[in-house]
Parts: sequence; structure tokens; C-alpha cells
Amino acid sequence: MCFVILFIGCNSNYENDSIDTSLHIDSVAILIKESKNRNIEIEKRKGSLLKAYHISNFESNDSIRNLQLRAIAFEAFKLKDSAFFIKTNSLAFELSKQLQDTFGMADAHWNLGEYYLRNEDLSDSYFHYNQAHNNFEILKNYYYSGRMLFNMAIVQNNARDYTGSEISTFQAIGKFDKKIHFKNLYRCYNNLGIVYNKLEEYDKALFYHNLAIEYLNKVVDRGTLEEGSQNNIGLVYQEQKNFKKAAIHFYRALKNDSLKYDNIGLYARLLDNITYNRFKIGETNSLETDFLRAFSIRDSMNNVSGMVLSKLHMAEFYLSKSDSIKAMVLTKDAARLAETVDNHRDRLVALKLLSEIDKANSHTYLNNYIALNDSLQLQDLAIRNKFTRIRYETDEYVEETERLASQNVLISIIGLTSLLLISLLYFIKRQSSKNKELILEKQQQDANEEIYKLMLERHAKLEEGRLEERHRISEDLHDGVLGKLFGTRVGLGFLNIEGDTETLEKHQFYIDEMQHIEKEIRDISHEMKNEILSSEADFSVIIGDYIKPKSEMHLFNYIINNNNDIPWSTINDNIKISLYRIIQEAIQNILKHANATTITINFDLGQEGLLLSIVDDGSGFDERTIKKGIGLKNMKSRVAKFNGTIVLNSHADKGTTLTVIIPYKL
Amino acid sequence: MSAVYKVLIIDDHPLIIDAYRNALLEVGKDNCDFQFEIDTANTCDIAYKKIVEASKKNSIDLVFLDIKLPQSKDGEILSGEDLGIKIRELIKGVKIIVSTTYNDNYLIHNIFKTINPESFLIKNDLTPKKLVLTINSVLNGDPYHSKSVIKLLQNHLQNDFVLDKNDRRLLYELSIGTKMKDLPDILPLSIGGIERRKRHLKELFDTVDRDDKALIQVAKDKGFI
Repeated sequence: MCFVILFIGCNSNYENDSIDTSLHIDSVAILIKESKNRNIEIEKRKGSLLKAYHISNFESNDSIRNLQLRAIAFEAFKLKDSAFFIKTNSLAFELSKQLQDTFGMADAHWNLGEYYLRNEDLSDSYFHYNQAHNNFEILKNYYYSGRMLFNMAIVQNNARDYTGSEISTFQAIGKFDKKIHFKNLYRCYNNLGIVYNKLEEYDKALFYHNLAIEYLNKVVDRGTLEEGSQNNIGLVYQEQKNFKKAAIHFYRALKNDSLKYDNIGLYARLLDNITYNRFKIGETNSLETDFLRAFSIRDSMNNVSGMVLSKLHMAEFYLSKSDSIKAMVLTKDAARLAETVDNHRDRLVALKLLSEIDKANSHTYLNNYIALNDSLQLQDLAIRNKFTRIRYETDEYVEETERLASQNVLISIIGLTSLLLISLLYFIKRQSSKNKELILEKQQQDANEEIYKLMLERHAKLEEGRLEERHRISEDLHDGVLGKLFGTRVGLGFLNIEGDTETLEKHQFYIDEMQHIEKEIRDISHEMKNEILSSEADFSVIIGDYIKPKSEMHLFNYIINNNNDIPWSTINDNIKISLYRIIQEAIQNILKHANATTITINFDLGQEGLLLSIVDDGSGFDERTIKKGIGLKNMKSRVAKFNGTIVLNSHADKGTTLTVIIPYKL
Repeated sequence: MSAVYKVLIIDDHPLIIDAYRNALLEVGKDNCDFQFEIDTANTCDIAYKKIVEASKKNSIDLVFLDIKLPQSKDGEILSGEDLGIKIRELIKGVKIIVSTTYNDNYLIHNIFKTINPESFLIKNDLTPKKLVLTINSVLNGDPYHSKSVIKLLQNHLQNDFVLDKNDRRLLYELSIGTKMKDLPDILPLSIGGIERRKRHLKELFDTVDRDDKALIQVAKDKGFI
């Protein structure tokens, strides 16, 4: 029995290769095209391909060369130039591996799969299809992966691993899109029909064949696929011995008159099948001629398996006519032919038939039959095991890759997380150290102000002490000395001194003089008290205290002009602190940069408020080049606290003037 | 007819007590009508005790009172001024001669308000002659003051405005350099009230737009301090 095994699709992706402007690429493409031309002799086509290969060897761009190699290999395969195919294909594979071109690797495997299938090397074919499938899976190219699964199913079918083929086909169906890949789905369901027929599940076989035809109806370019399907359905009915129904389907296929030209092989098969069917139904006319016609077509095509089938059918026919000699000759022929192409199943059928025809040697034939059957079963088992092993190994491989992939993902996640964590920690650390720095700065500032306040207080205390002391002296003078002097004077006055007028006058003079002394002492005492106002804890004095040691150390003169109307004692301490700091900063800057000989500090009161200007006669600088340094910024922020303004004026060689205005109302 | 005047001299300087005693003797020498029974006290405590004792017998006629005295132990009597007030309270008809080394206007003014002495003497203006004169005058019922005191009072009369107690105190405190922030503890006023009063004083003394120093100077010139 012969089934229409579908052609395994060719890889058409080459045809879309972009045509590069490069001369080499051009000529390679042209040569490959030439090799495809069926109107040219085979040898010439092979020659073109070889030329294309040689030119492509000059190609430096590996990825382009890889594409070219694969195209050449595929053409070599089609031209049945095995050695050249193996050479170019393995080159393409190695190059793909080098380039880590998974698609190229899959494609090379695909080519090999087809090559080994054509050579009936089923386990190798299965292996390469499987490899191609795995690569397409990695690429998530489910369409090609499905096609590879289908090819594997075909290989399994050929190896009579029907259950395996069934499973692979279903997997392939899962990969295809039900709304697009009609032709592929047709092929899958058709294969399922064939598989279930072999498994003697005829209902299922018919169901899937019909489903296949449904999908086929959606295909535009159908060819003779419909006829093939009808033939397959007819065979299912034939298996069921329902020859009438089988005939309907065979005839349906044969209705197409052009079949003879479009697919002569299928035509011969259908002719053989319908004739056999007619023989089984009991028809007699033109059976022999029809059998022979089918046989001669197959013979002309050198279709050995077809010829075996024809011969077996004819043997059966002659046997029914009791022409056992003709039947035996045909059967023996069939057995021999089947052996030449390793068609063991048909040889089995022939052996069985022989044991029925040649009663004398029936025992020998039966023994041969049993031996062959056993060896075939063992062979089938072996190949099935091999398939399973290949699949299992890939599964393991896939699992391993998945495991590695997930491990990689895990590692990257862990790495990324730790990286994030580290950077976060770093960030937090930096932030906290920054905060600490700020806090420290603030603390330092507070401490500075505290120190200044203490300084002011100390100054005030000192002043107070001084004042107290003055008071005390003043009071001592007043109450003590003055009182005693007064007492003494009056006491003296009341003394009755005897003497001449001159002596008395002198006495009186001294007493009067004492009164003058008293007056003087009193005045001194008063003055000591009166100085109270002017010696108040004056801010300008504090500034003088600050600047004096500096001027001695750095050898410059200083002038402090203080408007006496400025009520320093009533001015907010914070304003004074800020002014003090600004003066400190300014003087430090002057000492650092200006090289001044005289620094003048003016305190004044104006319409705008309190005025401070610090003038130096140093080198100055160009205002445009001044960097807004921390110092000036600090000054600005200090002044801003009191809504004041600060202006810096400078010209090269003309010194610098810093003016601060702080609003203040008396 | 000679009367015996009971005199209490309160001063912490023995020399001054001596001087007064000499002056009284001098007065008694010149005028037989005036006989003196002299008692002395050199602290507030002793003086107060003697005054209290005498008040029961109404037996003091004349008091020499020094203003600058150390305060009493219990802190009741801070100075001669306080003592003077007590004397006025306790002894009717007593004549008081205040003497002080200070010619401080504020002080003098205050003493006139509180004690209103029969005589106010600035010690340094005094000479033995003037002292004798004063005692005679006072005993005869005529007030007698030192020249500088009279001048001060005259100055006062010329001013057509009146400062209340707080104004005077404020000026005085400012003049001795009391800080603004301490003033609310001394005066029964808030810091705002003090500022307002100060502004008012500056208007009064025509020192607007000038500082406290100017104000005090003018107030001093006009005899308020």
C-alpha cells in the first residue's frame, strides 16, 4: 500500500534575501538563480552553483557569506549533489555557530534533516529536524518550529512509529495559527489521517482526513492535494473492506482529467488502487490492462515501491483466476524488488502471499516471513527508542538551557538588586554625610555666634566692671574724701587761731583753697560718672578690639569712623553679630587678596538705615571676573536676614568698597 | 529767755559731726538764747532708734541730716532721704537741715518733694560762717538754702512744663547709663511705654532725631537731672 507522503516544504526564506549592490553578491545571486533554472542541464546548473560557491569564498562579510552558503547548500541538495551539499552545508553551519546565528544553525539542521530523509536515514533525519526545532524554539519562531515538528512526524511515520508521529503532529498543530497556516494544518491533519489508518482507528482517520480537506479548501494553491486526500480516504475504506465507498473516493480523484499531466505518480497510484478495488468488488472488465497501465507508468518513473505494489496487486488478481504460476512469478518479482529498495513491509506482504501460492514451500516462506517480521519489529523498536532518546536528550538539553537561562535571570536579578542596593546605600550614606556636614556647619555657626555673644557679654561685663569701679571711686571721692575734707575744713574754720593779720589771712586762704580742692574733687567725681554715656559698650570699640591685633600683625593702618548717634546698645545683637562677621570676612579677604595699606570702616546712620562700609586701598579686581564665592554668599545671606543689601564695588588698582545697608529705625 | 534745743546730728563722718557741733557751739556763744543739747548718730539704725525714742517725748527740735548714709541693717531705710521722711512723720515741728555733697538736680528736687527741709546745704558751698548763719536762720524760722540749690529751684521755675516722677526717674536712669532693657524693672512701665515717654521727652526738650545723650544733656542743662 502506498500513501501520499507530503513534500516537506522547502525553505523559501532565501528568496527574499536583499540584493546587495556589491558585485560579488550580485553575481552569487545570479549564479544561484541560474542553478535553479530547470530548463538548463543538470550538469550546467551544478557548475553555476560551484562558481557561486567559489565567488562567495571571497566574501568578507561573514553574515552575507553565511546566507549565500546556505542558499548554495540548499540548491546542491535539490540538485542531489550530495558531497557538495554536505560540504557547503557544514560550512554554513560552522559559520553560523561562529556568528552565533541561531537561525542559520537551525536552517543548516533543516537542510540536513531533509537530506537524511531523502536518503532514508531516518534517525539522523529526525535528529537534525529536532535540532532545527530546538533552535527555532529558542528564537521563538513558532511557525518554523511547527514545521520542524511536522517533518519529525513524517520521519516517525516513515519509521512506522505511528504513535510518535501522532504526538509530534499534534505538537506541530499547536504551533500553527488556525487563521493563517491553512496549508501546514492541512498537511498535519492529513498525516494524522494516515497515522490513524495505520493504527486501525478508521473513524478517527476519516475524521482527520475530512478536517484536512476543510483546511485545504481555504488554500489558494492546492495543486493535486485534494486528489491525494481522496486517495487516502479511499484507502481507509479499502482497509475497512468497504470497497464501494473506497471506489467513490478514487473516482472522485480521477475525475480530474489533467491529473495525468499534473501528478503522473499519483495518477498511477490511483489507477492501481481503483483497479484493485474493482477487482475486489468483483468487476472483471479491463482489469488486466489497467493493472498493466499503472505498472508501466510506475516502471517508466522507476518508482520501485509502486512497481512492487502493482505486482502484488496483479499477483492477487492472477491467483483469483487460478493462474498460480503467473501469480508466483509476480510475487517473487515483487519480493525481490522490495528487497532492493529495503521496502521490507511490502516484502513481508509478498512472502505471505508466496506461502499461500506455493503450497509446497509454504513452510519455508512462512518461516522467512516470521523471521523478517521479527527483525523488522526489532528494527522498529530500535528506531523508536532512538527517537525517544533524541527527544529526551533535547528535552534534557532544553531543560538545562532553561535552567541555565533562569539561573542567568536569577543571577542578573540578584546582581541588579545588589547593585541597586549598593547604590542606594551609597546614596543614603552620601546624603547622611552631607546632612551631617550641614548640621556640623550649622553647629559651627551657632558656636561662632555663641562665641561672639559671649565676647559681647564679656565686653559688656568688662565695661560694667570698669564703670562700677569708676562709680566706686567717684562715690568714694564724693562721700569719703569730700566729706572728710569738708569736715576738716569746717573744723579748721571753727578753730580760733591766734596770730597776726597775715597769718589769719593765710589761714583763711588755705581754708578757701581746701574748698577749691573739694570742688575739683567733686568735678572729677562727676566727670567720672558723666563718662558713663560715652563709654557705653560700644560696637565700634569691639570692632577696634578685633582689628587692632590684625593691623599689628599684618602691618596696615585702620580707621574706624563711628557716627555717635548710632545707638549701638539698643541695636539687635543679631544685627551686630552679622556685621561683626561681615567685617571679619571682609578683612580676611582684604588681607588675603588686596594687599592694602589702609582699611577704613565707617558706621553711619542714613535714611535707609544702618550703613557699614569697608574701604581698602588695595589692588582691587575686575568686578566682572569676581567669582560668587562662599564668602560673599554668606555675607548676602546674613544681610538678607534683616532685609538688608550688600554691594561690592571694585576696580583694578583702585581698591574695593563693600557697602552694607541694614534697615533700622531709631 | 533761753531755750534748750535738742539737736540730733546724723552723719557717718565723725569730722562732720564735729564740724556741726562746733558750729552749734559757735551759735550758742554768739546768742545766749540758743542752748543746745546735742546727740549724734552715725548710722541709719542708731538714728532711727533715737528718732523713735525722741518721738515719744517729742523731744527733738533740730536735725542735721546727711543724705548719703549706708542703708539700715533691715533694709527699711535706704538713705538719709528715707530717714528724713520718717523724721517728718514721727516728730511734729522738727526743723531739718539736709546736707549733702551731691549737687544733683534730680536728687535735690526729690528731697524737696519728700522732706521739704528747712535748709538744704551743699556741703561744698558751706563755710563755717554760712553754717552758723544757716543755723540761726533756721532756728529763727527762716529757710536757708545753699546758693546752688536756690539757683536750681529758680531754673525750675523758669520751665513752663512739668515732668512727673517717672519722667524724672527715666531721665535720671538714662543719665547714669541704665540699659533700656533694665528700665522696666525700675520704672512701673513697659518697654513700649518707656520708648513713648522717651519720645515725648525728646519732643519736650527739642531733641527729636537726636540720641539719648543729647536729651540727657539738655535735661541736665535745664536742671532736671
